[in-house]
Amino acid sequence: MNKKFLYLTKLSLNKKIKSKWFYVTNLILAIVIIVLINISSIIEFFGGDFDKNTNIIVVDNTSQSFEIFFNNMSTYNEDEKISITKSTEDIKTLEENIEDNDLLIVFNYDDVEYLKAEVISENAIDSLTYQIIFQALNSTKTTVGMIETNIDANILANLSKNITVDRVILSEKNSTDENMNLVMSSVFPTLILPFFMLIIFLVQMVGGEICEEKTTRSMEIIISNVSPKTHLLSKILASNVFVIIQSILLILYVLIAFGISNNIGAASELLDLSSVWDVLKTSGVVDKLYIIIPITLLMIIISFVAYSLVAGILASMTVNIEDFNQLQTPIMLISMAGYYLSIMAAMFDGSIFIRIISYLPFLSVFISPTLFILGQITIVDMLISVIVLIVFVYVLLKLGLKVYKVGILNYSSGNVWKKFANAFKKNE
Amino acid sequence: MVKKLIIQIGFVTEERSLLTKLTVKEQIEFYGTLKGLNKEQIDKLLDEWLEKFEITGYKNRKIKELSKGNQQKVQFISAVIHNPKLLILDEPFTGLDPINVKLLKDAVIELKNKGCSIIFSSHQMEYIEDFCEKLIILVKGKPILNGNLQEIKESYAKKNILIKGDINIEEIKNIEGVLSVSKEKGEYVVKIADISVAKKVFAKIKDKDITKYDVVEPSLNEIFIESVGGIHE
Repeated sequence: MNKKFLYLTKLSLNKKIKSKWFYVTNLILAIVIIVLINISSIIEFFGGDFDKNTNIIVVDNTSQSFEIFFNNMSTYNEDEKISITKSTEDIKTLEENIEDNDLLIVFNYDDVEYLKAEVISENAIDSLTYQIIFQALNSTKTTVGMIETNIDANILANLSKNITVDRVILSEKNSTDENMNLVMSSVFPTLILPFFMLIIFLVQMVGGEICEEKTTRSMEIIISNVSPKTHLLSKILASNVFVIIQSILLILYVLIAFGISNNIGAASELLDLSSVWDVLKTSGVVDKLYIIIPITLLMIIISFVAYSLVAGILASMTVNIEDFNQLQTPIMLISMAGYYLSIMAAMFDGSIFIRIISYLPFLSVFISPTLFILGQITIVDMLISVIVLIVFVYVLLKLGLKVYKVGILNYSSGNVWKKFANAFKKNE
Repeated sequence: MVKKLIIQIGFVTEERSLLTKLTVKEQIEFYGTLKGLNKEQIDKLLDEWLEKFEITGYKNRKIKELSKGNQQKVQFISAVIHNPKLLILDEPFTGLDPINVKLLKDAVIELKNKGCSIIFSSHQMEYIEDFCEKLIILVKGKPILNGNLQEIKESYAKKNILIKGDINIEEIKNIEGVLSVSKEKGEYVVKIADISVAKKVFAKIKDKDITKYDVVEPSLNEIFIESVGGIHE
């Protein structure tokens, strides 16, 4: 391989990796990721807790509700964050002595509803705890009502149960269900977001480096010693390798964070991965992973090349970084559109429009894997997207190099589109 | 073939073409490697050039921390580190103080003596006179004066007579063929139409109290102004 190409690539890569900003940025990223994944443990360590222990004091004026309520609460209180005690003290006294984490529940008989409850606290309590208590109170009321009316427990249990639903989807294409769509809308944005950020980073990096060499006029010396093609390809390769290294580091930080989380035995309730995994398994996504992962990785790499090619070509046509920032705005908007379309893909439910968009370069890497997981496209559609992407990169390279050769030493501040047109004319 | 030719050319651009975030060492290594040198060769040659230009202490300093003059020296080093056969200099002395100008001039002359051909582009005629053998003056891309510098100056009809002493300016001005008389830096400069007028001027002042009488070719500056004149941009 061309020595100068390898040298330029290595130089460009080293400039990025050996900079102090790379170390600082990654240190901050590592800390942020580890902190976010272990946030509940950290808060606990400093004396706080997402779920503070709640102390329920029951005043039972019915003489039978407390035990029923206690048993019902046991079902929801598996992590024992709620303690329940019975009190015979005066309510006014209890109200005066109530603390921040205390809840006072007063049970009274009711002629119509059999049981009523008064829930008293100093401050508002979190909605999850309130939901648990409310469900337990409902169950208590049902049981009390059953006792008062002598209804058979089994009959009442069957009546109270949620209806059993057997979900059947006739269309083979649309094999995901509504639960899967819910996971897609919460899990996928998180997974796609780093890729979207890396694209922005990549475009800025390639364009910024070429702009810097152009504005410092060092481009004149460089291009007198290497061909424009060698120069452009070295920038693209270096930037893409850097982005891949950064991606691997991000994954590493996440794994370290989960490792720490598991070691201290405090998986964050915010990241209940086991339930997400269960939904993915039930919906059949896990079975498709062996297809999705390699094809998506391939699309990501080819898309990175496409984006960086466009960034390089645009940078060659500009004379300063401000002009480049303006020119690259459309690319940013396209990638943002891809990101949002992939999040909303479930809504389109197999429309021709979204299917065609999934073939388009720059957008396919966001949308195609999403639609495949949702079952709206097949593996053939994904492969078509890959082929279209490869052809696009090839054509972009061929045409873009013509523009690059002319633009790279052009310092006139004329209209950019005129420069593009002139570049093609000069190369004919 | 073209690549082999390019490697033998060095080019000092008018505007500095340096990556200012790099150190001097990194910058020279970058350009040197592109020219086909290896690291060891570059380091050895760099040390020699830094010593020659008296900036050894700046080897590991960032380009942006250097003064204009020192940056120009680094620019020069980057152009000659690979010992080119042809060196193109585009306004290399712009913004330099006289000491740095001398350092660079000496380096250029040394290269010339080693057999390097030099193409020197400048609007500062005094530098061109110092070491150029041949000259071409272009106006709007077209040559208007071309040839050996000395021959151009000798063939230039108009001459200057430098006189120091007590002379009657009006008397001199009235001599046919005298174009102008002015006083510059303590001596009189008499511009004459051709060499034959010099005799008439000498005849006029020979009996006066004169300490200097010298007939010289016009400076390149004057030739340039005369040649370019109204067609200058």
